[in-house]
Amino acid sequence: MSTFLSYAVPGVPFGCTYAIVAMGLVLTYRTTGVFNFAFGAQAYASAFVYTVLTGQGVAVLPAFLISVVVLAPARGWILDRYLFRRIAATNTTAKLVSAVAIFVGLPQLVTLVFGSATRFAPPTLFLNPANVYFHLFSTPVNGLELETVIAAAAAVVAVSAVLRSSRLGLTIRAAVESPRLLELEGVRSDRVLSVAWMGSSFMAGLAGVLLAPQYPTLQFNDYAILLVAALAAAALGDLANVPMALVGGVLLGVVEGLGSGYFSPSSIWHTGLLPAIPFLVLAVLLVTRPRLRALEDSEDPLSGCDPPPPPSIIATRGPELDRIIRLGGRALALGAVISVLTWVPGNWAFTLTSGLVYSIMFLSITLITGMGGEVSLCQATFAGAGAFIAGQLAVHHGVPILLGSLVGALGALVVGAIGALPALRLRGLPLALLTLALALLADNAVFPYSWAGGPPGGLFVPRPVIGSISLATTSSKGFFVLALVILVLCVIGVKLIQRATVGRYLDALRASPIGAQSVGINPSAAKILVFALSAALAGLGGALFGSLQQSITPSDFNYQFSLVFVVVVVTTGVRTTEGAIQAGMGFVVLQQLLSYLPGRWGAGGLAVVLFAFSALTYASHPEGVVEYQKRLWTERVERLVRHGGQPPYTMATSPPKEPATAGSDHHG
Amino acid sequence: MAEGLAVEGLSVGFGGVRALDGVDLALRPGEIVGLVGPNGAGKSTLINCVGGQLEAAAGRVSLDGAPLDSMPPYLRARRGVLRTFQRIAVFPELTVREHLFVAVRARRPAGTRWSELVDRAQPNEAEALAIEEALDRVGLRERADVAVATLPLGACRLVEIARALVGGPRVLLADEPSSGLDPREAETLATVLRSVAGQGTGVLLVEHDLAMVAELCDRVVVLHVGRVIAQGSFAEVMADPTVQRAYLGHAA
Repeated sequence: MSTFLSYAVPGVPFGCTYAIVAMGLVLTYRTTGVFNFAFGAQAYASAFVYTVLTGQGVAVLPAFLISVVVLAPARGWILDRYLFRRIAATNTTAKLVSAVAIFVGLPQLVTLVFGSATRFAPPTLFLNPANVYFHLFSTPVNGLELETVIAAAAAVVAVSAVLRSSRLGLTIRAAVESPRLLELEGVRSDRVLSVAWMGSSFMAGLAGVLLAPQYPTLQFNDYAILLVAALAAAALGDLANVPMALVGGVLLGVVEGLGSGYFSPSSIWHTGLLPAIPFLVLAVLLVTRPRLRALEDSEDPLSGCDPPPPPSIIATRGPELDRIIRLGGRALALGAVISVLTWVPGNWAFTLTSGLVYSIMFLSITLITGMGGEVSLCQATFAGAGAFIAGQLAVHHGVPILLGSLVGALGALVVGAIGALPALRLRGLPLALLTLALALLADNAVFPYSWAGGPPGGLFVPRPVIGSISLATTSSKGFFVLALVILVLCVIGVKLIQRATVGRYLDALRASPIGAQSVGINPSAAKILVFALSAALAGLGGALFGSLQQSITPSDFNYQFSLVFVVVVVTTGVRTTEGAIQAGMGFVVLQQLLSYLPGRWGAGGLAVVLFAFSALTYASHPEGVVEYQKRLWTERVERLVRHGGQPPYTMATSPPKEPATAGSDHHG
Repeated sequence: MAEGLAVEGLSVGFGGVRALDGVDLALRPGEIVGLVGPNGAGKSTLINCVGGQLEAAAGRVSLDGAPLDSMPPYLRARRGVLRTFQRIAVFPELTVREHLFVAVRARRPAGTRWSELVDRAQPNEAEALAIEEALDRVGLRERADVAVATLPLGACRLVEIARALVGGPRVLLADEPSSGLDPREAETLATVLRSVAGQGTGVLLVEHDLAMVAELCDRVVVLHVGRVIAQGSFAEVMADPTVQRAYLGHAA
């Protein structure tokens, strides 16, 4: 018993850190209706400012006031005013993508501004971290742990009070349910939601500053993992119950404490299962708790008064525009291909080749999000599955890499189909969270093993040999041609499905799942198919990526890449195959161009920041920024040619005036 | 076993509220049955249980004697139970014709073939015929190739009706199909329902417009707080004192 307690007690403060973030998530979800992925990034940003300030000799209290009381709510106000207010309550994809964009963009922005020097743990807020205050069941409790527990207790009281008993809490909850209905009562909903966002950001800042002293150095990855673990805790309370979120957090902490105590450090349980527990818990809860599944079903009581959502621009693109874009695109593509094969220098040829490979991976997002209407946050994991299968086959069994890539794609296809099974009853936000949990499970419990993710130094993946031509010895231009051929085949395949009967079924399911099922379309079959094919494309792209890089490690495919991929593709245009190609080429070309910048600006973070910021326009342009710009410019050119007359086709050229409020769900 | 749709002892609860409480209902082929009752009577709940969108706590639903209870909505649709929605559930980006193609193709009992992953999404002869017939019925032929998002609400309702009846359902569940229709569209709707029933489809019509119920329905079933309180011809149920009390409150 005393052993048990000595393992369990140290888990409590750690569980309390989960709980603080979990309660923040619940508060945000309840008061804004947005599942705030950005919460982790916001906590990190506040912790960063606090660390920088205290590191420069500012006293704890003013540093706390600046980072948490002033800056955090200001950030919340900005987020609401310029981003989330523009997204319709029903548009899950837009809300999710915007939050994910902040999640990947904000930390990179912080690094760009302040530099990436290692920053050590800042001082705690009010207790001496090293001082042991008392012993609980003969386990010493120090100031750091005590402070965390006190903060968690204070948070549960404060959050419950706001949500349950105050008039503000009631108004906020009403504003989440239906801003329009609340306005009929004479309350300005936008102001209420603004306050809610400021409160949520304050909470994120508080959590960040409380947690910062717990880690030896300040690293975003800790906050990202913490966010997902906290999500598991919040899920125990169905994302609604604050005390349950506290209990869930503490439970998780205790279970991890017990695990690390009882399992021998070298056992498979310790290395494989233990880090994966929060993600496993989250995945199981998402699949089994009906109320979590129903997160998607909450709807505005006034939505019955809405007209059907406008079709996305892409669906109404005029034939003239279509022709111009197609011609321009082909000319550009031809020019690029000829250039690479003739005068382009080696490093740029390599960049453009990897752009082709990224395009293949990004096509998988066209399939799953553009056609299937679901956001998947584990596409990089599928890519990794394909790459590692191809690599292991080549290394251990001498399978030619091209054949291995096909086997890898097939393997990813199977993984995708199996992954779709627990997701059958989920869609929208819960589905995206499940894919994230699966990605983290793979990152923590599968890829670290050498039979999967290769030896610690990286898994060697050979370049292909076609007949007597070895693409390893000749310049990478041979690989460019190979990747181009494979990409074209993949594009043809996706386009065929788009135009086929199944593509129509997917259109129907995306627009109205309930309507589609009512005419006989099988949603489960469609979901398995889309997941499997999408995973296969990602796997194929991943295998080619490995072959191009010649050496891969699990960190090449970790969950953060999945998030970045989604942001990049959705920003560029997720509804068309050309969007995926533009995303793939744009992503690598931008990175290559920015690498000429001096110092930290050239380190690669800037590209992510730029894409993340353009993703914020997704709310207004669900067809994708590039698609929107193409439409805009073609229109301008046409107007110029026609001497400023009427737009040539009114339907296709007049975008819906208020896309943000018109409920354009699942246009992503 | 009886032909048509049979509902026996259907009960559904939402939390503490019994939305349906032991409802029995029979719908024979070619019959139009009106389902009326005050708001909250359980009309849409009943439709959702028959369509499969909602799981009943107790009771049975069967079509031509074959139980439907454990079937998901799409399988019921393939058996011939089709419906419209109170809040329209159209596919905004598809044209009217594409709606009808999807509906007539997806309902095929055999399900989806692998070849349909790469075909050109073209209807075969029989399907094309059914699509054209449905277009003519609801009078949307001129607007068949425009995206449904550009149509007014009334036309969207007609698209839903056409989508449900293309290819001839066994049972049509129409949940307030006339709301949002102008008088001319409502007239089209009435004609369509009558002709569908004339071809042997059983129609269960939830409708607030009592004039339409009186004109169309062979039989009327009155629901009140989840129970059937009266059924019979329109005149019979309207004369029933229980029905009058339910509609006008206890003071009457």
